[in-house]
Amino acid sequence: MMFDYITLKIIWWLIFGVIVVAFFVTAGMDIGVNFLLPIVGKSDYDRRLIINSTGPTWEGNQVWLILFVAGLLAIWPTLYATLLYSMYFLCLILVFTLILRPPGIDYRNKINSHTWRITWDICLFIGAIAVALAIAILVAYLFTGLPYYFDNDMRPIYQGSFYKLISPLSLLCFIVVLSWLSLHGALFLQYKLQDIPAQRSKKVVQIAGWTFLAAFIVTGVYVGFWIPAYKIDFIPELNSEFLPTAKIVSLLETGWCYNFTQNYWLWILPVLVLLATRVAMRLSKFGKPVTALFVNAIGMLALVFTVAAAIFPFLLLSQVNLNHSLTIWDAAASKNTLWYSLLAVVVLLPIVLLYTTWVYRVMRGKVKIYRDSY
Amino acid sequence: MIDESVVNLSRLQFAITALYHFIFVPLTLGLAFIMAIMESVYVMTKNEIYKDMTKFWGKLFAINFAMGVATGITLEFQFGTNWAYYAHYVGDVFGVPLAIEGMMAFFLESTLIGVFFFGWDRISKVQHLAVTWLIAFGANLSALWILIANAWMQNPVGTEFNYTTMRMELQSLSDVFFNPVAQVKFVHTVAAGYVTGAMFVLGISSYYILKQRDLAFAKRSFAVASAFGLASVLSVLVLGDESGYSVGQVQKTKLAAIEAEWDTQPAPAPLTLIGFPDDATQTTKYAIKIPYVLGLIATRSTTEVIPGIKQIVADSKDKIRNGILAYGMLQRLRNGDKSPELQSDFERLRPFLGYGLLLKRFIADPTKATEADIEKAAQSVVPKSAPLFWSFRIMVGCGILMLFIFIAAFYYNAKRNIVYKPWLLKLALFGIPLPWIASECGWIVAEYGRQPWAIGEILPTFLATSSVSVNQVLISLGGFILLYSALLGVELYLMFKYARLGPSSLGTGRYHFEVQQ
Repeated sequence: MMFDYITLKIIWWLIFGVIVVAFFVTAGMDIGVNFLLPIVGKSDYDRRLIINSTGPTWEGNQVWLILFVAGLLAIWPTLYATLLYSMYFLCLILVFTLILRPPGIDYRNKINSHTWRITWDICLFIGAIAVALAIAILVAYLFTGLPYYFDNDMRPIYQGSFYKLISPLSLLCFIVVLSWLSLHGALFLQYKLQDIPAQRSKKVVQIAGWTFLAAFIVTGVYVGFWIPAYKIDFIPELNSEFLPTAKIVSLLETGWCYNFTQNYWLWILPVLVLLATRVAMRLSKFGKPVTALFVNAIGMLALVFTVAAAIFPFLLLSQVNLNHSLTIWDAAASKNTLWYSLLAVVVLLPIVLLYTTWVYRVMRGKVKIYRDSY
Repeated sequence: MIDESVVNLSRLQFAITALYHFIFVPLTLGLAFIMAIMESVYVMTKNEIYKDMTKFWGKLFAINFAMGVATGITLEFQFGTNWAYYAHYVGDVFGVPLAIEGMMAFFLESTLIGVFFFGWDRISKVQHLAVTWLIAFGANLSALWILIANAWMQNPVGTEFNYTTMRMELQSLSDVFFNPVAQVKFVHTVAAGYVTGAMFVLGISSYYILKQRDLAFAKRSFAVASAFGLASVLSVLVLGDESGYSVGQVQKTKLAAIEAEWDTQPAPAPLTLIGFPDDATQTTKYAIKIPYVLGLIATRSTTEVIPGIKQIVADSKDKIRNGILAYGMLQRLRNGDKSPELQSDFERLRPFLGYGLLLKRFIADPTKATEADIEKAAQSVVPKSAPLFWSFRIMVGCGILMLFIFIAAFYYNAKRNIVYKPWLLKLALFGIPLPWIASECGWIVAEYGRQPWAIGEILPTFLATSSVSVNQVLISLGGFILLYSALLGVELYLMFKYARLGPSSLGTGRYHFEVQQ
């Protein structure tokens, strides 16, 4: 083995960050596009164009989510167990909307009925909102924690209500996520569509962009200075294996900007988010949506790592017993699993990126409707 | 204490969602290869009809594929939502093949599927053919890794329990990969998928021939399906036998339950062909037995004895007693006793820890178990025989019926007179459900036969659940049943619509309904 345990733990934290970024850049774009379905697409023909713009690629994009979830199970098994179990109904909603997406895209055009098509349009639109809301609730909980603890056998016990999901923070996050993904989706539609729908997408880019910037700053200030942060007071040797219940954690009333006050260079990340978004918006205005998409992808990377850096090294906070919070040091799988999985990633992910790029290249250009279209 | 209703409902929910997912998977596996074969013929002969065949069967493939992907996601989430302790206890091992599956297989098929449907005019013929083959390989690789994960649940090799982290941990990925159970499971399952694809194409093609339309298209599809199907169904049966041998080696309890072998019989044991197993009295009524056959299949020897259910239950009592000791030692280790004697004793008894955990169904602290508790736990180590006995026989029966159909189809196709064999065409058409019945029964044999374990002799199923309430599972279960029923209705409606329409749905202007207009 080339790396020690602690290095592997950090590498995997970075890899998860990259997987989440890849998910937002690709599948997040599709969610944004689905949300814009009735906003940009005013006629059935327009909506068909929009659905076909992501038609050839959405299925592959969705695998980033599947990889993320399977990766959680392998790499942070206790986090996977605690999070999914505690978020029982949220997961259920997420799964239902994900199940409705493929038939929505694939079956919509197989029956020539107005009601049938409108029904699937609504399913896709509501599905996109539901996914954005689920992501927002999840992000909110990253900062506020969940009421769970572990019993003596390390069985997670959730003490909260399974229904209470909405808080002021989750609503703020919802605006951030929805405008963020709309901005990305609108950039893609501006690239894929022509004429009036493309003009509409161009307008949406500006509206979504400004909304995102405002919501991001407000949420950032709220989380950074109002929401109490968690701090580790004692933790066993990081290079060894130990239970998530073995450390001592206390509250820090000053808010989640703590890590940023300790390492000033981290401010690059949120600044980059603002900068990249503004540049992408300008590029869209000048009719360069493809370059704008790439710039916005950098902004997405910066946003994901802004959140990750703020809560580092925490992954999930316990409200019931602070000490039972999960961190990258104690939620990780065994050294063997981290190592074997890293080898798999190093070999396989470059190949995935290669053929994904090829597929996007083959499918490049404006979307057109023809015989094989959805 | 564990709530039995939560356990039962969680199991029911997993079974329903997994069986539902498995409606779509086998067809994906088989149809992908059939499409690849058809397209290969197209590229080699440049005969447009083979392109139409690839595209038409691809249309049906798409309707099926969309559902297969979506319903797989449900299972991936359920390990966390409903089986949280399972996820914590074995995620370190079980998650690895799932994650590799995502990277190696799922990405491949899902990313290229778009090019398959929308890339016909954007890339060269050979490139498109390569894409089709890669989708077929991707689907099969996907099955490989999923079955490696499943085989580890059946026969957990290459791993150890770590008392510091309270979970199973990976020791050797190659042991998990080369798990003998995984190898036979994989080939048996994918071959069953090929049979499903072949039966699907054969049956629908027969329908067109019976209706006297698009004969050139239908006969060619029939020919491909009959050859591919015959080869596949032979492999399924041969590999099923291999599967029987491997079960006989590592899962003796499952074997005894499938065969309703209550008492250990002198080797080589007879095979109960049919009968009515009764779990309450531990007898099989009206049993028709064939001497020697079971012993020969399961042990491939005339001397090796196959333990019966009563003996397995009796033998498990010693294992449970060792499990109690192991459980006690685990508590002392976790309380900080680091003495080398304790460590080596625990090392020795560690394989029995799972048997100690079995007692948790009856008593919170297994170290305080009475003889009565041990008796109850011992009775619980064997699954009910009747469901396994019947599922297995239905599965084999469907297999033999399909073997007959494919032999006849292949023979008459070779003699070029299928058109004059309406009985065969009707048999093939109404035989379309057979591979699905067989696959679903096969799933029941494999997973119900694993009970009472989630992970064979390591983690009992009842311990593996999440600490959720009955209502919670009822709500999600109800939701799944409603949504899944509605979607199945839509899916079948579209399948029937396009199967009836046939290649006319391609809009090339060359087929039945278009020519008439």
